[in-house]
Amino acid sequence: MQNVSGLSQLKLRVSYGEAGNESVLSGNTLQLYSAGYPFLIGSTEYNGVAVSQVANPNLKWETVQAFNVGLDFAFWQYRVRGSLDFFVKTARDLLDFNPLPVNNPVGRVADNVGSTRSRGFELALHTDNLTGSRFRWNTDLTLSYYKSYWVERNPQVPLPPYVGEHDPLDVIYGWETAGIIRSEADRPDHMPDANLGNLIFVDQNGDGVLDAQDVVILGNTTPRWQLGLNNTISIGNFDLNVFVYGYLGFKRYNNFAPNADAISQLTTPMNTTIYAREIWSTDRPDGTRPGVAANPYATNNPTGNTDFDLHDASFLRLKSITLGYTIPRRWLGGVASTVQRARLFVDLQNLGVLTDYPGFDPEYTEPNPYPKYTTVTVGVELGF
Amino acid sequence: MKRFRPSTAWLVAWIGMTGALLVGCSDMLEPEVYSELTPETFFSSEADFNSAVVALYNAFSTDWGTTDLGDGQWYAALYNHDRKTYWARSEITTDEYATDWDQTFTTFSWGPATFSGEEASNYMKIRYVARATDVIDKIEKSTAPVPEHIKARYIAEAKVLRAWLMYILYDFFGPVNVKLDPATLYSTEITPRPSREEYVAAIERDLQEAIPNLPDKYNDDPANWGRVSKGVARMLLLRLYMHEKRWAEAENVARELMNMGYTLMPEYTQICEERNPELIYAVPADASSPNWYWMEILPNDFASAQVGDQTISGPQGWAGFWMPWDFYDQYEAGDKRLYTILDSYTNVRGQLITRQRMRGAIPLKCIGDLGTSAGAEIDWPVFRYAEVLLSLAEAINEQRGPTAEALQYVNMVRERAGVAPWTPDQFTSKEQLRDSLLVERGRELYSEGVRRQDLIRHGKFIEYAQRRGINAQPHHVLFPIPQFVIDQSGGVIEQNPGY
Repeated sequence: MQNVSGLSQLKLRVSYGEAGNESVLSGNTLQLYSAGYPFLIGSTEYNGVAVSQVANPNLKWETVQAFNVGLDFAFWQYRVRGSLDFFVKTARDLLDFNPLPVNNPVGRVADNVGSTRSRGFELALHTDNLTGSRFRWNTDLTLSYYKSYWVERNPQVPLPPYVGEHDPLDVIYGWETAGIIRSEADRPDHMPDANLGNLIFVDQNGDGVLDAQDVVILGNTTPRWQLGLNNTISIGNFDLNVFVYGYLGFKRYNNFAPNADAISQLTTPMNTTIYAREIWSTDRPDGTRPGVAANPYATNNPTGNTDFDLHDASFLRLKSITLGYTIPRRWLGGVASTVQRARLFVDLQNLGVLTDYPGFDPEYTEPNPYPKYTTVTVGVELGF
Repeated sequence: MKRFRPSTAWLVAWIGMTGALLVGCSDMLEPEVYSELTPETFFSSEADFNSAVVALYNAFSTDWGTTDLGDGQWYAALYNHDRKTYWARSEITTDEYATDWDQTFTTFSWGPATFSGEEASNYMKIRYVARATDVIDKIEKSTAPVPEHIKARYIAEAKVLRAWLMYILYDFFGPVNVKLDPATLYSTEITPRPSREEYVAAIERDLQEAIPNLPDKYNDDPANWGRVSKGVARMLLLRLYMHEKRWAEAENVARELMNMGYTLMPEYTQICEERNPELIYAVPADASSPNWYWMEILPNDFASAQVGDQTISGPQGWAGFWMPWDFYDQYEAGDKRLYTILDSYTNVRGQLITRQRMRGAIPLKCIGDLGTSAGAEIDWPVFRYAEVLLSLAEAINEQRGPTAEALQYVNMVRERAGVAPWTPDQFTSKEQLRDSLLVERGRELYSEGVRRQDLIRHGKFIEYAQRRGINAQPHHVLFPIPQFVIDQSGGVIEQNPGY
């Protein structure tokens, strides 16, 4: 290996470990009665007590087995260096609640229910692109991919027909849509009782009926790819740092979607977003959002989810740009003896997001979050 | 290099510590839970029995609902007035009430998938039935030093509550797979739905076993008002027999109720007075457990209204429900029950709002302190003596036609309402009186949550819905079993027909 030109370092790492987790549900091996069911009799509100937990003497620890293979490498006198890791983490005997029959006194019991696995890789790369004394540029790249999926499901819970046994943990199941019914001509054959303005649901298997068999995987909610790119350029006494990060490969519902009730109720005014103007009605036949009439087929959707308003939320965020100028020592004059270093800088944070997602911010799931704000910081850094 | 020589003192300390660790460790692995109750510590006093039974009453509250500790999900209470409750769904699916808040139920477009999470609040009371079975079993086996007749009373209360919950589930869903055998309570096997006969027989058995061990009524016992009594048990039997069209048995139980000392109040405006002699059962309400009915129905600019010669003021409400004018117009001129249904009111700006500007009439039901935005303290009437009289008249009519006796009972209700009594020459057939009784029940018992079952019993539920322009189908007389229950059962539980 010593004679391979260009190769400065190559290290292989392998690790394996097992960890237990029991803190989540301690005390769950016992049968318990708890208060929490009040009722007023006479003028006393008594607090009723009912069985709230069933015993599970077979409950045991959750085990996470983590296996990692990594490669540390460097080329060309460490001008390009980095590491690549592959990992597989399997969680067995997951501690979770196992549902009990609906007509039992308690609806769930703590149990070890199945196992999940996540697999992925991580790449961290640092390159010194230009290494002159007056002109330097280096780049840091981190890239990771992972997916978590079910290895073994809870055998006691029958899976609905649309759920695959080894599906990823974060998928959304639902019906696909194909626009809205703007006029009688738009009404599909498999939705004869629909009202004007209703969403058109896709009949996947073409059997003329909308039911659980028309449920498909609409997407996943956690990002598959995570990316970070940091570039530092220095020219003379100026330095510039640009940091961009992104999450790719996930979907989110549009949290700017208007509440259609706001224009359907006659007495209680309600605030909603301006997209309410897009709601279809006979006054607004070009509207792109479904109208206020109830959709008689919507209640046959066992998941309650559709892909209307579900958007690709992949994004790249320009997180920060920092521009600095190190004042040359000869300009410091009298203070040069105490001040070793002086640097002026301008730091901008959260400059913007590049995304197709129409909602508030692809990083937030709540509909009315406290937003990320853009800040500009100007300062002086002094070293003594 | 110095050698380290442990002194004797050190050695003793080390051995002592290790010994203590070995002994002490195993104790740490057996956690003692002091903050919760286990079956060994609970059910050891009368107060415990009361707490266990109160947890069953909890399903009937007027105050919103409860998070079920057994699955972490919040469910609405049966007699709260939110749109998801047993009371509300028995009204908004009929001609008596209208609302904007639940198109799925007002247009009959529900399906098995509608009933999930909070929307399944009524079906999930099946869990209270299982808990009732647990309570009955535990109290029976308890060795607590409680007198036998007190134990028997608590067991009887639990049985009546179990029967009541079973009746409510039956009303909405048909017979469901309730757990009545304590041995199967914690089994993970899904039991199939029982037949109608078995189910109804189980309700009857619970009520009949309970009746001897309960006091007649609590109207004169303020501290215990809200408990189920012999009167309540008989009322449930009456409702069950009417549901099953077992007219002879309905007649018998109604006559038993007539001998229990209940009487109609002189005026309809008094029917909600606290523990009045017309009430067989009302859900208690006060500041700690408010009644939200008037917040749900009053318009959001309500200030006051005229009721007879008094002025009633009330809070600005949420304008959720109203009585359609078609239903209001069924009342005869001079019917004093109309005092409790507003067709005009004064708003916060002092203007008189009349029918032309109102979506529908405001069914106040109770005349009293209508409360504030924090709810009201009026007990909510559930079972009234007036219903006994009307049901008795119906049962007699079904068996023997429009007899003078049947008319006598209806007329007691009509005379209290200030309208002319019916005479035998007005009714020449059973069908005529049956139809008129349906109208009279609507007028008398409005807003008490019985309209849906009355219409179903008379075979008019679907017909009236279709008249309102709804695409109602015959199978809509029962709600579907929630989809998640069917899925969980893997085919053992059969769905109701048509779904």
